[in-house]
Amino acid sequence: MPDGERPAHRSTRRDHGAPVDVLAQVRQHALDASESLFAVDPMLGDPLVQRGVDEFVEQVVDALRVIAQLSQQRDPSWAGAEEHRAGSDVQHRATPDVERPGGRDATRRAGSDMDRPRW
Amino acid sequence: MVTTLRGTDPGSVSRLGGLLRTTADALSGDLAALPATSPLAQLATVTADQVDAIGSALQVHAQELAEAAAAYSRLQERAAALGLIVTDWTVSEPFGLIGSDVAARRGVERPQVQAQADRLASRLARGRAQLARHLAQASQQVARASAAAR
Repeated sequence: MPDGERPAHRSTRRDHGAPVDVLAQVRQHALDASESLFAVDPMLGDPLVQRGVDEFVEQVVDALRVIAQLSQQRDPSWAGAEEHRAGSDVQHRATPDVERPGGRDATRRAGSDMDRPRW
Repeated sequence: MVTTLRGTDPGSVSRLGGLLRTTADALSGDLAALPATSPLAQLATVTADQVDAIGSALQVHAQELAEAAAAYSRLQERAAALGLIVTDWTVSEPFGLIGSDVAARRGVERPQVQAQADRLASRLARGRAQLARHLAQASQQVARASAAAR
């Protein structure tokens, strides 16, 4: 393997067991669900139920956004492509090797958790 | 003709329940491919479970509202046949001159119809309170799962 090339780029499955397309799908489903829930403003007529539903939907939308974020973080290569396409402002952990003294291998030897599965 | 109860909208409640269950279904479909112990999978599992449970509870509540509306209509019909009127679960006698025999009969029947109205209103209130508790618990569980996954 050429120096600096990442094995993960050659495979759709990272070592923690989640295929890239699955993460992308999870993220997309979470974002779609978040949007569709956020888009509805149900007027249920009953103030007691209405309050409960509003609070619940708020928490679910928040959870879906966390799910989308986590799905993005799990695979930096996929997240980078998605960010580029969507113009997202979410920051992920991938840092170009050239910015690290000694490169990726040196970082690995030093015990960095950059590549550790965070599932 | 059965109309909805004032302050309720079974159609909207049912549609929201359906939307939540569809959302839960989409989330659940992704779970099989994720490692079960990961924070992502755990959050998605809790979220999907709670969203599905609340969606289901809302649909049940919509059904209860529709049944309560039908029961309320039957109650109004029964009351009307006795010369009584029902407004917001309160049974009363209409204004006007009536004979003493009719007044005596209404005096006996009105409490019976009111008791039936009270039972229906009480059942509906229990359903609402139960749904409100369920919503509060589900909100807390989703919030806790989100906080743990962050």
